[in-house]
Amino acid sequence: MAESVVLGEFYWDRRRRCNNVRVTDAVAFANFVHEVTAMKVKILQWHAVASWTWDAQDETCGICRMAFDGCCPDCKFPGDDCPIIWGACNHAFHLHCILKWVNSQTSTPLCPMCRREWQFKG
Amino acid sequence: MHFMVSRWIRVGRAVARHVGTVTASPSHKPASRRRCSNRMATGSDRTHTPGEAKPRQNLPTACPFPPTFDFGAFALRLLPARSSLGCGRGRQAMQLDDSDGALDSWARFCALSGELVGGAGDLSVGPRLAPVVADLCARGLATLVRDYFLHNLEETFRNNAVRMFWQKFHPYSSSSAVERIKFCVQESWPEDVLSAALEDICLEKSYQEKCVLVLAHALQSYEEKAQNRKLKAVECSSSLMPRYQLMVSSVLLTTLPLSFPEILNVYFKKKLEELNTMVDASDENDQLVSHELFGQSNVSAWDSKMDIDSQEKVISESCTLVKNIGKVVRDFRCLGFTSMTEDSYSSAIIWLLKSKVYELAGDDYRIPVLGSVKKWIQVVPLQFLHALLTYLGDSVDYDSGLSGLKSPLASRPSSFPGIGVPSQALLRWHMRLEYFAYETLQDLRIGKLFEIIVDYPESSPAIEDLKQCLEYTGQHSKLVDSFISSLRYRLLTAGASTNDILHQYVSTIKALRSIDPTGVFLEAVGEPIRDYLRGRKDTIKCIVTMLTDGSGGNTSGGNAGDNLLEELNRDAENQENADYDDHTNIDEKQAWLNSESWEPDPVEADPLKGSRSRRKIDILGLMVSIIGSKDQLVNEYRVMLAEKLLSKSDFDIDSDIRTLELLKIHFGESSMQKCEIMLNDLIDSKRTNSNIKTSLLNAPGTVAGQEEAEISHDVLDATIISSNFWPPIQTEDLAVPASVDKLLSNFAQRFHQIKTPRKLLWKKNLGTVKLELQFEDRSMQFTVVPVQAAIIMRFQEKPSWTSKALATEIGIPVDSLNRRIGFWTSKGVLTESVGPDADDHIFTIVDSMSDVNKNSIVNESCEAFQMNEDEGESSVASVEEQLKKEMTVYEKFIIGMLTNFGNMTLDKIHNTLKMFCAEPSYDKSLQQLQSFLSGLVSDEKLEMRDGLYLLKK
Repeated sequence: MAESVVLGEFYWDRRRRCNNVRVTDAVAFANFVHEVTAMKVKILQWHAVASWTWDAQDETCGICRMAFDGCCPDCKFPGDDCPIIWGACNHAFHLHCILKWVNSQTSTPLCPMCRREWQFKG
Repeated sequence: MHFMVSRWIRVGRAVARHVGTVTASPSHKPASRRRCSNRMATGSDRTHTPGEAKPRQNLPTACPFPPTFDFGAFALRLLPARSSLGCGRGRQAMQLDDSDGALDSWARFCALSGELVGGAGDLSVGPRLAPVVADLCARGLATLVRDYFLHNLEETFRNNAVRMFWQKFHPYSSSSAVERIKFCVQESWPEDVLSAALEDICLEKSYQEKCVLVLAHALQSYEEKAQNRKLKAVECSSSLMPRYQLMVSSVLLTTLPLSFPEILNVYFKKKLEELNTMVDASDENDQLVSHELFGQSNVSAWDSKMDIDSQEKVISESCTLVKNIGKVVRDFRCLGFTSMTEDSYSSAIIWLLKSKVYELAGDDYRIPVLGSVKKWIQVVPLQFLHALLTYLGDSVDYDSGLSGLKSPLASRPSSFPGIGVPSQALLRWHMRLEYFAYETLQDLRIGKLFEIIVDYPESSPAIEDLKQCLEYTGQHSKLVDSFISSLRYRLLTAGASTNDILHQYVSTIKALRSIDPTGVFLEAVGEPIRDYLRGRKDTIKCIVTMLTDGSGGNTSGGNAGDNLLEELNRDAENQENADYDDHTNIDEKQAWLNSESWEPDPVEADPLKGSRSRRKIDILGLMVSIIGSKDQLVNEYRVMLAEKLLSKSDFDIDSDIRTLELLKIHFGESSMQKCEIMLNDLIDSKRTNSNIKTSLLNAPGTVAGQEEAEISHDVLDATIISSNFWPPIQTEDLAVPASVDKLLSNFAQRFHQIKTPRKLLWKKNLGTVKLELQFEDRSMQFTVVPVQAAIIMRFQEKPSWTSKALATEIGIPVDSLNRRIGFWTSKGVLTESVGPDADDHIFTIVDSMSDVNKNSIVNESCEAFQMNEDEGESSVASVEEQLKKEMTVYEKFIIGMLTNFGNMTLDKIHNTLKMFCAEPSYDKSLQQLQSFLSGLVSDEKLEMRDGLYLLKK
């Protein structure tokens, strides 16, 4: 019984757009009302957007100077088609770039950055 | 000598007296005559000086009017006789007799001619006249006889026939313009009057002609005799008739009332109209009959017989009509009105032709009219002219002798139905009428070209007509001028939307392409449109929209026929053909053939522009040329594509792939590379999504334990983009609800596992969310952006939030929250009330239907709502914003430049930047710089005066 009286008073206030009811009171009342009639949000589909990144420390490939998140000059599509690879020395290159480099070396291939022997990181 | 002179004077007076009796009204007596006779009476010595008076002798023959009786001339004509006689006394006596005889016969001649001319149709004086004339001629007075006779005729003609003739038209001539219309309305008005008047005057004329013949005969017989006796005689008989004709026409023409040509015009117009309606009726009849014929083929023989009968009837009717007209024309001709009548009926024909063209052409552009106009020309005016010319006997090739001078236009062999081999005159008429019809139709169509092009694909018959007309008349420049002016007036104004202008431009291109395949006129017409479009900011956007909206969802009202995508398609086909051509071109023989088929540019072409550029009219090329470079277009397309792809909630991109393939053909693969990657990202995302979902489902241990009643992973989809290849994306921090956040991080983790070492970075403000709000008594579905979803989900915890509290909770600025939350208040889900601070609002969930204004939402509650689009928020930075960002680097250069130099022109700034900006190198176009500078001007950093930029103080 007391509940309905309070409710009625609140609505009456709101209809008259009275500002003399303190905000906290209004919020409290509303929250109180919420206990009675709840609104639920049901998500049917959440289509999100994300960007991917190779988590390399550097921005660009040391050989082709193209972004890691881009692709090497020979490739058209980044990502799976043009992966990057880390050497044992922790330097990263586009796979295609470093392979070209390695294959062009006559002796044992060295890392283009630190001149240590190039080994793919396992 | 003195005596002689006084005798002559007496003779002169006697003759003058006779003349006076003949002339009916002394007031009509020309002043010159009176003056002359006075002179003779007073200063008679003048007659002795032939040198002084000699020019007078030439006067009568040179003057087109029959000479009034000139006494001086008379006296002079006597001179040769006198001088041949010498000065002896005996001879004087001879001459005296002679003069008396002359006077006698002159008096007799005067009386007889008066009788002849004045007599009503009585030619019996002819035989009596002959000896008198012979006598006078023998005395060397032949010319005098002729002139006097003609003068006599003139007076009679002028006073009787001519006055009567003009009096018949008097009521019309003397009435006001308004009353004249009343005359014109009367059915048989000019016809009756005209034919009656003509009949009268022709009767009179033919009688007078007979009189002339009588005299001519008399003169001739004398001349023949004179020739037999080897006497010198003046040839008068042959010139008599032409002189008479000349006299008649000059009398008529000098007394012509001003309104007479008008009357003639009205007459011919009426007659031609009559003929026209007659032919029209028969045409309709024909159609009717042929219709019946179609229905009942068994009685076709009878029908066709009737058809022929009816046609014959019409032909005979029109024949009599034409005969009447022909009679009038012939009468006018013999009165010397040849050119006036010809003018009249040709102007009437042309007037009729014009009204016919207007009637046929009208404002309907969906029917070709040229054919029917041509047919009509053959049926009505040419038939009429043919009949008229044959009636007048002109169709006997009067210019066959001039065959060498035949107009080249007329050399075209043509035959007319029912006429057979046409005469030269008819051919000329045909050419003339056709040219006029072409010109009229062309002017009509050119005047309405704007409207015609507005509904182009439907109005192509009108365009085709116009094309033919222009081929004939060659007045292309008229088209260009008038079309440009109507474009400026109607299209290139601030009120027209860019979309409309572009659509009209495309239609113009298509229409003019069919009129003139060389593209010269299109170039001229298109230039103002292009210039104007370059000044509009949203041109690129509109063009790209036109390019991409091929699927048919064109909401802006443009019809699908204008779609550029189709053009892309066609272009692709052409491209393939062109490639094929290139291969065969290697063949030398083919190359030779190609070079043989070369044609020079039309004469109207602008020689400054190479002919290569207009070889092919390619709509897309023209569109791109508005923008300036294809890179700009591709860039804009990329932004739009990104926008479109990011707001997609499924991965259905088939139509985009198709568009992209077409664009690749046109703009080259390399420039569309980034767009291709974007589409590829979508395809990859789809695959990755299903991959991750199955892996998440297969590993329930990690998920199921934590969130029992929470959202399942089925709900989440993700577009995973290669951000390097997408246009810059606007990111905004957003705290999504914990449950979603959890979902996202799980997803990212999975991704990391599958695609090591790649990581996902969420752009949480982007994407779309479909959700359902469930109340006790209703539920509503919405499709919103994540921010809006995050907002509404907060209201699950608390039904009322202040905007500040909500903003901090969600992690976005308050003003942006206020903007976004407007969506929910507009849908009636939340209500807004003013809080204690002016800028702190309270939002409360509207929990039951009874509490809100029902009308506003009842209808909406069941619908799935679209995203609120008029927020104007885009997930991708627009091209201008990108440009602005890039250009800010140069701002301090520009400011520095302007402090040093004071003021600079756009070109100078551009060149200086190009020269001195090495790092970062300056690679912007002049237009880009200009738009950036105008941005600075509007930011009040710079000022622009007379094309000079200077610093704002």
